[in-house]
Amino acid sequence: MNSLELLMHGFTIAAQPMNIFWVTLGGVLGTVIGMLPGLGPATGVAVLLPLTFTMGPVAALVTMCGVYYGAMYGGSRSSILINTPGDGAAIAATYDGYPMTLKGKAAAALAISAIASFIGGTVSTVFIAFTAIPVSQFALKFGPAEYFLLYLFALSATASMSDGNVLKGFVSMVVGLMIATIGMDPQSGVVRFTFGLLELQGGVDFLIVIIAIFAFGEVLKSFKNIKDGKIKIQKKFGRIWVTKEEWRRCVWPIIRSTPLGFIIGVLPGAGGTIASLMSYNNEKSLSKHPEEFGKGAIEGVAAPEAANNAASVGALIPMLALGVPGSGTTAVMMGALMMLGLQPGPTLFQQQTDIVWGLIASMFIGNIILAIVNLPMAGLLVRVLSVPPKILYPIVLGLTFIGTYAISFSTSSFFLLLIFGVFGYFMTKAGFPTSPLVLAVIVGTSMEQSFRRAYKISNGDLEIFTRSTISKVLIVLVVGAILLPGFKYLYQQYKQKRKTV
Amino acid sequence: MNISMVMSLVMTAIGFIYTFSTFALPDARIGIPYEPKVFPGVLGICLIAMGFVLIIQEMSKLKKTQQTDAAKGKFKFDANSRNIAFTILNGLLYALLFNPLGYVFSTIVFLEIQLYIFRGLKPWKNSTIVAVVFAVVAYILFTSLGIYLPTSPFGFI
Repeated sequence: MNSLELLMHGFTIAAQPMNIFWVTLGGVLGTVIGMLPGLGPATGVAVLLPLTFTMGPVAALVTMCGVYYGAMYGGSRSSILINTPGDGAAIAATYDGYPMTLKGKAAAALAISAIASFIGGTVSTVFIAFTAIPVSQFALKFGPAEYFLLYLFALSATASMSDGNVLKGFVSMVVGLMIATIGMDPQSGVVRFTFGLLELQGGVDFLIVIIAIFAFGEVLKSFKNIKDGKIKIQKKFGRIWVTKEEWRRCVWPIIRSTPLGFIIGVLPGAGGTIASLMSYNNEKSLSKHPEEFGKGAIEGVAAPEAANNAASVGALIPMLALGVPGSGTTAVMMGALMMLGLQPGPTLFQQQTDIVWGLIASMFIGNIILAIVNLPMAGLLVRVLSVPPKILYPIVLGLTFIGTYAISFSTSSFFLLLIFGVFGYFMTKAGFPTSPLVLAVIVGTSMEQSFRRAYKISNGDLEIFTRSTISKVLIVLVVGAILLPGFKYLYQQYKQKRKTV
Repeated sequence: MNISMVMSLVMTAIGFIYTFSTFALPDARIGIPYEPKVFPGVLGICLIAMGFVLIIQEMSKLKKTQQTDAAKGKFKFDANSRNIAFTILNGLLYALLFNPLGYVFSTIVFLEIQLYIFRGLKPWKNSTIVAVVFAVVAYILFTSLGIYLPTSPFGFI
């Protein structure tokens, strides 16, 4: 079967009433979580993961995808209405979205954000449907040495492109890999780093680390933002739609930003935040009226919204086809897949056709449902923003504990939740990015096993890591990822020097 | 000492403990004896090296900061830190009460305390309603999804 036939087959699975129900529920819940300041798609998926524990694989994945997209949509609602982005990818929506609200154009901003997100998400889903199979077929050529280098590249790129001090990104990555080595070694049976604790013999469940860092730690981080009283928010809107003139201004920015966002999303370490900021700057430089940007230019909302949704879909390609997550959120999604006993990677497309194509088809359906939910029901959904955070955050904390219990059915995991949650909080406070840690915890075991398999095959000859062309290319990419921040710094210095001259 | 410096020291210490623990690992009985130690050994050494570089970076930053603003970046035990500390203690209490009291009652206690930390005692009626409704709804939702949560000594929930 070709991609189109497989996609049609996926639709017969995704369009089943129960799956539509789950994607709608996931979308609404994700929108609500995404609207909470500081809580983005990764937190949304982490907090709501336990809901899917007893579902079948397709239902669980479509629900998670619904949550993922819902949180992306939700993040921009709070950006536009209260100037508080739900997560990094929604920051660009504050630049012109909030000024539009101040000008009394909140309805148009909400509408174009939903429309651009819909177009960005849907077009990217077409891209993913036609690129995933070639990528997965190419990945079949990978041996353990290539896989080890691929993991190394994904982690290095994520660490290198993290905000702030790059070295801290790499430290975070190494700590994550260390966490992944705790427990019984699957190849030799040697128990490592358990310090005599029986509970650690099976290793640290990566889902607990995900919930601890992305949910518990994020909530702790949000404590300082908790304000007294209710937030005043516009709840009544006129018709949430755009005029012909507004649409005319947004068409090309959306068309340009979608492929840009998709490509950035595919790259490990980049993702929604970079995609939305790049497309915003891109449109500003292309606009005939750049002075309007930052003061309520509607294309300043449309472009980043299309780009960040396209990036969120693009990020699924390396995760599904290669088994390598390129961002925090896709790492959580990969965690969800592994929890269901599925191993993301090239064989997933051959062995689990129903699940993969059902998931891809559900992205189309999810985008349609979220556009429907976010346009007429915007007034209802944004009421969540008026519920005091002092009530909402304790509830999210309650969900993190119940989620952790549902993973292990043991209260000893609560201690791990607290330890990693607090550790994640202090890491963020000290400027250490947490995404490389989470990514490393998820892929750490596979990475070490790939390294050791390659080492065994070659009888301890490290030359195996440079033998194939793919390996050589990957080594260049790893070195490039490590050196990239240095080049960036040198380029900035050069630019500054030129300015002063 | 600011939080960044403290965390750099913590990371380096983790690197040392991890590396020493790696060398203390027993040899594998099957295959290459030292194999389970190779990957962790590399990680441990990398973390120690990066930790030292971070400490040097932080020290040079600290010198500059002392010249400009000594207090900047210093960890202060303010209201926010107090809330976090109480949340952690509340979490520990929750872990201890979870099995003996059952999900619903321990969650009510956990949320009551958590809501008290943020909202104070004044809106206690409202906080109690939130805690009870959340605990009961979550219990019903999760048990109906097949995730069985501990019941109270009274048996019914």
